[in-house]
Amino acid sequence: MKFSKLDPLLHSELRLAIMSLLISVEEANFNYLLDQTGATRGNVSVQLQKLKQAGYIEIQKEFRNNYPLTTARITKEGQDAFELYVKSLQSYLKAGA
Amino acid sequence: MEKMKHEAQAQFDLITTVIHESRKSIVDHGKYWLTWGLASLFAAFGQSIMLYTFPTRYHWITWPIFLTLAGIVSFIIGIRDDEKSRVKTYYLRFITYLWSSFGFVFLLLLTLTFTQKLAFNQTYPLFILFYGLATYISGGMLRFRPLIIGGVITWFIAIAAFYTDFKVQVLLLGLSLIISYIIPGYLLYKKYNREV
Repeated sequence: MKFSKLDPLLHSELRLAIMSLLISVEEANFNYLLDQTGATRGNVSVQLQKLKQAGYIEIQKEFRNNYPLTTARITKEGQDAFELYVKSLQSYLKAGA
Repeated sequence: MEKMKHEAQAQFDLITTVIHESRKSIVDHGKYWLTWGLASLFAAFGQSIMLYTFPTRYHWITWPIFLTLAGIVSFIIGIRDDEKSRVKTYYLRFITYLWSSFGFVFLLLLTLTFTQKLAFNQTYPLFILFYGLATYISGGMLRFRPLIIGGVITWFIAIAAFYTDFKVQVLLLGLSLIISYIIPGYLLYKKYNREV
C-alpha cells in the first residue's frame, strides 16, 4: 500500500485550523481567525505569514475607521494543497480500516 | 502505522470541527426573513382590509409604506452587521444577488401593472410564484428544510391564485408569506439562538 506524503506545512494544528476556516469562506479577517482558533495574536500572525510565504493564502492590510484591518483569503494553490492533504489523510485512514 | 492512523484521524476531526463551528457563526439568523416577511404580511393584510371594508383605488398603498419601513430596518440591521462582520461568504454573495433580482422583478411587475400592461389579478399570482422560487433556492443554499417546503407550498398557492379573484389573491399572498417567510424565519431564528 502506497501512502501519500503529508504536507508538513499543513500538518501543524493551528495552520490546518486556519486553512480549514479559509476554505469554507470567501475571506476572513484577523479577529475572526483569532476567535475561531482560540490561539494567541502572535501565534496566528506567525502562522499566517508562513502560509502566505508558501503561496497558500493572500493577505490584505488596510485601515477601517482608523484601525488596521488584516484580511486573509485562500489562493488556488492553497485550495489544491488542502485537497491533496485531505486525500493523503484519507489514504492513511483507509489503510487502517 | 497505528500512530499515523491516529494522527490522521485527529487531523481529520480537527478539519470537520473547525468547518462546522465556523458554519454556525456565519449562518443567516433569520432577522431579514422576519423583517421582510412581517412587512409584506402587514402590507398584504392591510390591503385586504381596505379591499373588503372601504374599497378605494389606492388599496395598494400599504405596500410602499411597509416595504419602505422594511428597507429602513434592513438598512440599519445591515450597517450593524457590517460593523460586526468579520467574514465574507460565497453564500451571502449568492443570496444578495438572488433577492435583489427578486426585488427588480417585483418592481418591474408593479411598473407593468401601474402602466396597465398587466392587471392586478395577473400580477399577484406571479408575485407568489417568484416568492416561492426565491424561498426554495434560499432553503437549498442554507440546507434548511422549512424554507424548501415553504417554497414548494407557495408554488401550489400561486397556481390556486390564478383561479381566484383579486380579493382572494391578496389573502393567498398573505398566506404564502406566513408559510414561506414567517414560519421558516422564526424557526431559523430559534435554531440560531439554540446553537450559539
